[in-house]
This record gives sequence, structure tokens and C-alpha cells, in this order.
Amino acid sequence: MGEATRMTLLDRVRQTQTGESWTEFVSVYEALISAWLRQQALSEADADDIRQEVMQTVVQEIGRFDHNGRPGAFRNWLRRITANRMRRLWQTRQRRAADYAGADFGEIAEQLEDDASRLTHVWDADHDRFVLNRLIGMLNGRFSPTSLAAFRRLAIGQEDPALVANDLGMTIGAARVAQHRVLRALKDLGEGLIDV
Amino acid sequence: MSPENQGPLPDAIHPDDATLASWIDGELPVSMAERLESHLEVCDECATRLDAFYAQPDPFLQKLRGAAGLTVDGDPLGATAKSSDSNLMFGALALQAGLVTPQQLADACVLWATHGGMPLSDLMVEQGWLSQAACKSVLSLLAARLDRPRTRGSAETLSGRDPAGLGITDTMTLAPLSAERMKLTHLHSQGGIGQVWRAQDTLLGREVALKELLPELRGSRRHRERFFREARVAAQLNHPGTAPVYEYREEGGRCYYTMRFYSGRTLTEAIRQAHKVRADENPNESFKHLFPLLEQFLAVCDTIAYAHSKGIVHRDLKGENIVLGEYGEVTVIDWGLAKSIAGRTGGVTLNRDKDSNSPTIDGERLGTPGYMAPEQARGDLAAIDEQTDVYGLAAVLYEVLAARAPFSGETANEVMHRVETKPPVRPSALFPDTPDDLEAICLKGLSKRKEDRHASAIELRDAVRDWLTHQLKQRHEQERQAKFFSLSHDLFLAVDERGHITQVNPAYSRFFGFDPLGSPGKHYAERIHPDDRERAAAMLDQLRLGVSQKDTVIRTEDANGVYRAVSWTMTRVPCEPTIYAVGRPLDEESERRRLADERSRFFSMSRDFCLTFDENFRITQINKAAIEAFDTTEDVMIGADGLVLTHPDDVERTRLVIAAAQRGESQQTSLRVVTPKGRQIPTTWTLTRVPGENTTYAVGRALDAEAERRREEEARARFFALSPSLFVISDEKGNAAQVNPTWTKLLGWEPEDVIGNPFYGFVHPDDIGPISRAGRLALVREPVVDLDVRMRCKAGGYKTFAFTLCRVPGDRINYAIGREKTPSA
Repeated sequence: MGEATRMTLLDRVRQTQTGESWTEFVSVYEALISAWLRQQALSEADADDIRQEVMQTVVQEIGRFDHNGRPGAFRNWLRRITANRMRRLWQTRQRRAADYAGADFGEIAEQLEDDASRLTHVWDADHDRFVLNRLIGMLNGRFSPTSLAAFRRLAIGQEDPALVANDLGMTIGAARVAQHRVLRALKDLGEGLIDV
Repeated sequence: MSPENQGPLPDAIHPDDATLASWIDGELPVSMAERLESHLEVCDECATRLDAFYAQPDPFLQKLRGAAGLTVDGDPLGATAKSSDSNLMFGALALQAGLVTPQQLADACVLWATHGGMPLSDLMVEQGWLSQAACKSVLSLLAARLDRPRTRGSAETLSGRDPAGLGITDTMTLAPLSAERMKLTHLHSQGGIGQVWRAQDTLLGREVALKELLPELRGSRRHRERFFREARVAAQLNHPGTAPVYEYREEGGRCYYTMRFYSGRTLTEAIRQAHKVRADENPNESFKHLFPLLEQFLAVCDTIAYAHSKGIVHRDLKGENIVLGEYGEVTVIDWGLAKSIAGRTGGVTLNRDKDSNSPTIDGERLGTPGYMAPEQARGDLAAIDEQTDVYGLAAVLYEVLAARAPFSGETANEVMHRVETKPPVRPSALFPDTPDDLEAICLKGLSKRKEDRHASAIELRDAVRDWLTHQLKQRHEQERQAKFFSLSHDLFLAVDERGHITQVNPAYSRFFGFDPLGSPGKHYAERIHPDDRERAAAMLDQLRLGVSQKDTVIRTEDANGVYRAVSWTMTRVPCEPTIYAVGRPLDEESERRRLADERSRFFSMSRDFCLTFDENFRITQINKAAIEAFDTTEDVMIGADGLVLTHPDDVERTRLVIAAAQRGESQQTSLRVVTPKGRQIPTTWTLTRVPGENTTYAVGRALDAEAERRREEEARARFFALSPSLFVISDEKGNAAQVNPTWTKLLGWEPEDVIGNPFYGFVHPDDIGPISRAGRLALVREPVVDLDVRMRCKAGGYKTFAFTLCRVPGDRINYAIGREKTPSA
């Protein structure tokens, strides 16, 4: 860690609880959880309920979240919260209406709590994929379109640097520098959330 | 850190590898990093050195690429990313980058399929959907992808369609589809509200067609419902002519279902190919190439009839939506626009919730313009029913006949306007050999008014099937005829309406000495005698009016330049353009042969003995009756001396008779035939020579006494039975041997009363003497006539009869015939 100005999204959220970073964080994770729940065939109403409870818990607990340095600490933490809230809602549902006909998310919750289950793998992959895409989206406005294009084409598309530089009207070096800066910003942003 | 890294870095001083590595890893202090970056921006040399560092795998970047929809793994499907797929790949990348809409891509693919050879990229630019710069960028991306498998031994699979995958926007979707199970190989087609991917089900190891709701419609509840209904409709169809649906899923906001994937060509492709072959052929023969397509069309009708029985109409029938398998399977695909007809028995309830009962918005036009029924083109959804599919089937039939859709135009609106208002161009206007009947069936199905079309898919199918059956029967009949004609001694000729010879038989070619293959295509009048041409033309005119022409003699020049007269009989088969002519040569030789044939036919049926002899009186022909009677065989007799079976005592006499007959005098004679078995048969013969021929004919009859007597007795019995006179045959002793029914009628005696009793028991006592004397006289000298005899009636009393007594030739018996005198006299 060579620079004090580096600030991860996670750090900022843990410190401020308000502001742009907070809004961004909440929007990312709300969308993630609700999409994930719907993928598991939960009704929209159920998914909404669980998402709200999970987000509430995250808001309350994030100050106390401690990244222990193990890869995937944050997504595991979030996974357990989600599983927990799902199970609680499932139990309520069962108590209230014996003939509840929705998906059996008690079963899903159980699998999600298991660190080695297939569903946990799916959760991990979906989390990283989703959050990364959202983080790339957040770079809009922080870098020039040219820099973003250089990053996109060199780092993701793995195109020929000479061609990209030529297309973008910059030297190869300048394109590489742009790629480097954007990538570093992205890595910083995802620090603690996306572990490799 | 090396000392030079401590201070400002002059432009001229290049960083070492360790410094570059630290920079890439983000471990260089900010001030140094900034200086290094300034250097890199102007030093291409160092910038290029970075390539080696970036070639190192970066786990974070790999994760990022995966998130962008580019997974780098050893997927064997990468092998399919050959240059042939580069067009599709280009389209997919442009779509992924959000540079074109799915609709534009689909349109471009259609255009690309029809503009053979033009790259998809150029097409998109030409259509103004893609700027030159954007096109270039996608092309470079494409080049990078296509190069990679060669340089890195691995390939990327395009998985999931993520419009923002490479773009930097904040509308990210969750994930590629069931990433672990379904690998999307490539976008196959787009229709209606969905797009079809060719996909690999990695779990079950099979290729499937995966149809997905278009991403931009995912947010619409109405479209989701419609898409679900579509899957339900498709799943209801369980018929060999439809694609089975495997499963429906919704995950991550994406809706999709999987079906069996059909590889094979579409009917449209088969039609195009058949018409290509057809174009190269003799127009009279070419239509047969469409027969297999018509058979396949019948299968399509069956499938649609099945769907109708389930209350489902397809609504988008066209050659492109029919896939032909390698082993004769005909599958109707893309039930994306299919509609369930509500309230029909056997129909399926397709709505998950009952309130969304309108599957499509009113006024919405659905289908493919060129194939659309008028009610579809109007957007009159209430009017859409099975008849709409009958139209669609007829449109497919039209495509078979004409290799194009019934309607076309510059824009969809123009096409639909024509669908509503104009009749389709007759297929026969495009292909003159299109059979009228079949065209009529097709055009009936394409009627603007539903009630003018065939009542059902079955009815349309039956019409086409009957036509086909009729054609096949006709073809068999033609083959049969051809066989018959080829065996005939008569000359056979078929001429088309314009007077060109289409067919001749071997006898024709033989007779005129023509090359058998040379005649078809020539005009019939070419070799006709100038004086006969007018007559021939007049005959043809009459024939065209349907009047058959009999026994018209026409002279035709043969291969040696000699005019030969042939008597022709000509007819025209109704509803067929061909004129058939059967000719009989009038040359002496052929006429003789004909007569000989005729005679031999006649002889073979006669019960008399018939033989023909040549000028040396050798047997040339012998009929069945003679062969059987003479205990011989044809093989022995033909060529044998004419007197071979004649009794030696009769030979001399017969020779004289023969000599007279050969001079032209008809002769009658009797002779004894001695058969190889030694039997003697007395025979009587008539010998004749036909004027102008050397052949002598002999017609004979056996003089067998026994047979002769029996025959005469029968004749007598018949005669006597019918006679109104009394009839009696008496034996030598004068006892009655035979009486006729008149005895009962006039005298009341039953035959059993009379037969075996002496005649005088029935005669007036005064007449017994005279009749006894007359009987003796008749036996020894001559018949006795008009002898009045009073005959006794059974009931008492007498009736007078005038009797004639006569001896039966060859027998010592008499017969007597008595005509009643009293009542009438």
C-alpha cells in the first residue's frame, strides 16, 4: 500500500454511512440481492421482504464488519446474513399459512449457509461478476471516455496496443498509462469486496 | 531501488524491468509513478516493453473479463469460431458492445444471407446502423478474438448476451445464463419477441435450441407473459412434425426455454436448390424435381392439422420455418407467434393468470409480410383462426412452385398493402410448366376471403395429395403406354400442341428408317408430302377442337427419300396438350402383314381346321383346332409338307385339287387324315388362294360319321321339339323310339305312353295296313308323302293327320311327320 489517498468503497461505506459512496454501495447490493433471490425463483414480494431485511442488517452491522484478510470475507458475511434472513422469513411464512405455495426458500437458506454447497459457489461467482460490472459503471465520469476506452480494449478486450492507441489518437504508452490508472482505480474500489 | 529512480526521471532514461513491474503492481510511490508515466507516454520503446508484463495472467483481470461475458477457458466450442463464423461473431460483438440493437442485427443477418458474399460489417455500415469508426473497433476486437486460439491454444466462448458487457454503463445484468449448464454457442435467429441461440447443454451433453426473451423486453410483464405462453403453446405440441420443448426457466430476470435443436436445411433452401436444378433441364421434364418438395409439403399440412386439432394456429408459416432433416423428417419450427384459439374443444388454457386474456395487442401485426394472410396484414386479430394457417400453407405451396413468397415489395408496409389488395403473381407466369390444377389449389388457398380458401389444412392437403396421386398414376399409365407402344407393330407418334413431335415408338423409327432419338423435337410437318400438308394441318385444327380423326392417309418421306403412305388415327386426350397418333402403313407389304396377322387371329379362334401353305405347299400356319384333332404339335407341322398327314390313297387326287386351287380356283375336297397315332379322320376341305398372294388357305372339317350323326340328331331333335306337327321315329320293328311334345298337345299321349310300343296301337285299325306298307316303301325305296292316317286320342276318338315317312340317312329306321288335317281344314 503505497498511497494514503487510496480509499476503497468498503472503507468509505464503513466510515461515512451517508453520501455518494453510500448510495452507490446500497444500490449495488440491493440490486444484487434482489436479482439473486429472483434467480432462485422467489416471488417478487418475498424477494423484496428479504432484500429489505438484509440491507437493514448490513447498514447496522457494516461498522463492525472486519475483513479478516481471507478471500471472500465480505461476500461470505453477506451470504450468511442473507441466508439468515431467508430462514427467518421462511419460518414466519410457514407459521402463518400452512398452505403457502411459494418456493421452498427454507431449503435455499440452508444450502446458502453451507460454505461448501453448490449454491454457495453460485453466490460467490454471481457476487463477483455483478459487483465488478457495477464498479466498472462507477468509473464513468471519473475518467475520460478515451481512458476508459483504452482500459476496456486493452485490459478486457486484450486488443493490440498499437491499434488501440492509433484508434484513440494517443501513444501506446499513454494508452497503457490510461489502462493502468483505470485498472488501479477499479482494484481500489473493489478492495475488500472483490478478492482474488 | 536503483539510484536513478530516486530523482526525477529524465525522458531519455528508460526504466528497468523491475521498475516497470513495480509500477504495474501499483507498488511504486506516487511521485515516481507519475514520472514513469510521463516517460511512458512519450516512449514507445518502453510502452512496447510493457506488453510482456501484461501478458502475465492477472487474476483480477480474468475475473473482470468473465464479468464482461468473456470467459477464458479451454472450451472446445472455441473451435467453431472459425473464419466462417466471423460474420456472426462480428454481429455478436457489435451487439455486446451495444453498438447495434438486436433487431438491427437480426435484419442484418437476413440481408447478409441474401447478399451472398458481402461481409456483415459492411452491410451494417451500409445500412447506417454502424459508423465506420465503430465498425473498425469491432473488427479489431474480432481480429483479436480470432487470433487468440492460434497463439494461446485456448479460445473464448461467447456466453450470454450482455449488452453492456464491454460498455461502461451502470445497467449491468446479473450473469450469463445458468452458466454451468448452458453454453450458448451462437445466436441462431431472432423472431417475434425472442432470440434463439444454439446452445450446448453441458450436463446432458446435447445440443439444444435455447429461446430467450429479448433482453430489452425482460422488464415488461406483458412480454414475459407472452413469452411464457409461447413456450406453453410449443410444449403442447407432441407430434413428429414439431420440436419438443425440454424445459422453461426464469432466472436472473432472463426467461428462456430449451427445445430440440434441428440441424438440417430449411424448406426454403431445398426449394432454391430444386429450382436451380429445374432451370437446367428440359422444361417438359423439370417439374418432377418439385415432387419431393410437394411430399414434404403434405407433411407440413399434417403437422398444422394436428396443431389445429389442439386449438393452436401457427400464424407464421413459411419455408424458413420448416426444417428438413437428413432422414426425411419435416419439422415445423418457430411457434413463437402461435396462438391458442379460445373456447375450442381440445384447446389448451395457456394463461397463467386469468386476467391477462389478450395474448397480443389489437392492431399489432404479426408474421412475415410476404407470407402473411390478409387478415394478419390488416391486424385484424379477431379474424385469425385456422383459415389463416390454410393461407400460410398455401403460401408455402406458392414458395414451392415459384421459389419466392407470394408477395414482395420494398418495405413491409408496401408488401402488406399488396397482401390485402392484390392477387399474387401466378406461379405459371414465372414458370410456364406449372401445372394448372396445382396452381389452382395454391391460389384458392391464397384467397383474400377466408371462406374462399380450403376449409381446413386437411382439405388443402387432400387436394394436393390427390393431385400428386393422379400425377403418379398418370406417369405409370404413360410408362405402361410407352411399353405397349414400343411393342406395337403400328406406328405411334405423340405431338405437342405446337406440332412438335414428343414421342415415337420403335416401329415408327423402323418403318421410316429414322434415328429413334432424332425425331422428338422435330416438327411433324417437316417430312410430310407437300400435297398432304394442308390436310394434316386441317386435321390438327380439328384435333385441337377435340374431334378425333380416323384413317387419314398421309405420305411421309422416309430416310431414303421415298414417300410412304400411312393411315393415321389421331386423338387428343382431354385436359392434356398431347395429340396421339396411331398409324398403319398402307404399303403393300405392310398391308399384307396386317391381313396375315388378322387372319391368324381369326383362325386361332375357329373350331374348323385352318391351315395356310406356301407356294410349295408347305405348311406356314396351323390353328389350334387342327393341332388338337390331328394329335400333333405346331413345331412338327410348320414347314412340313402339306400332305404329310394325308392318307396315301388320297394324295394323288389331292395334288390335283391343290394345283387347281393354286391357279386361283376355289376347291372343295374330301380326304382322310392319318394322325401320328394312326387314327384316321375323314375330312372335307375348302382350298383357296388369295389373289395377289402365294399363300393357299385350307379350311377343313372332320367327316367323322359318329360325330356327324350325333350333330344331326341334335339338330333334328331341336327342330322336332319345336314343330307343330306330330313327329315320331320308329325302330326297325316299327316301335316308336322318339316322339315330340305335339303328341301330348294334340292327342293327349305322354311320351312314356308311346315310346317302345308298336305304332299301330295309336292308329285307326283301318289305317294300319296302308301305313305299314308305306313304312317298308320308305325304308327300301323312297319317302312317302301325304298319307292320311287317323290317329287315336288318349281321351277317345280320332284325329286325321297327313303323314310323310322318310328314312333316316345311314340308318335302317324311318321318321314320320304328321300334319293335322281336321280342325283347320
